Amino acid sequence: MDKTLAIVLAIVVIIVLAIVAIVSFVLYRKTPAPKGCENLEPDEGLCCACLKQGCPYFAQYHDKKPAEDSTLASPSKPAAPKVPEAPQSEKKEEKK
Amino acid sequence: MAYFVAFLLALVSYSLIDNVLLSRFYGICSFIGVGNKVKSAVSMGIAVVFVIVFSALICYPIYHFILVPADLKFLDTVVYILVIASLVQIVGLFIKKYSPALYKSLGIYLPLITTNCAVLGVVQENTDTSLSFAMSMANALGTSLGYLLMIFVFACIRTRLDTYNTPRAFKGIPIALITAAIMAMAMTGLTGIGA
Repeated sequence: MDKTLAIVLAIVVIIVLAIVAIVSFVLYRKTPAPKGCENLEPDEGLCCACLKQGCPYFAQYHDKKPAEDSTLASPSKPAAPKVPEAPQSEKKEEKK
Repeated sequence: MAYFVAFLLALVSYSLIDNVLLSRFYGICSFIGVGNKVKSAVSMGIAVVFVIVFSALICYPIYHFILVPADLKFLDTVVYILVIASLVQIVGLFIKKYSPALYKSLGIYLPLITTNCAVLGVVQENTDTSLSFAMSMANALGTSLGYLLMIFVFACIRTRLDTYNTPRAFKGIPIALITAAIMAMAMTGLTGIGA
């Protein structure tokens, strides 16, 4: 096939598919949501687990600092073990 | 008859032995993200089945009858992405119009099927390995059914795990990943069927 014709065909294929994609997107946007589904909120647990950075809800659930997230927070230092107090009898002996 | 047997074997192989999630590791994000509720998992699985099968059905003739004769194979990925994006919007449109219950359960997440790499992976694999049309459809159907099965099983296990006293360090994603790993190991036990 002639190179020029191939390039023209490539452009036509891309343009046709892009038009189909845009039309379907516009139709999807224009179709009214069913009753009771107008203000759907994303599920927090689900969105926190998802790592798709292209998702429009990604920033909403991944902006938190790591310290705020209890599951990711670094474990706090273990408390120092309590030194048992010496019995009173020993203290008296020390005083003597 | 032999052709039908080959088709069935390919279907079983693509859905169970060479599973898209546990063996090829495509579409893990939705597997982990949506796989915590059985209803959403099944709805997502059905939507993915529809998109994978129809994108394979549409992309095969476009590749073999337009891109290959015109020597435009380099455009395959762009074409596939546009086809998948259009299909997802059309599926979303139908769900929005005719199935309010399904729209309520996954309406927000429906456009994200476009970014599910399992869909693009199957279509790309069909053309890269030069599969015939029947085998392409077996790949698409088997892969998508395997996705549906695994996401359903995974959601059931995770629902049960929520009721158990899991150690705090393992709660949530860590135990989900361990579950997925054990499932993947279990699926390798099927390797060799039909050999």
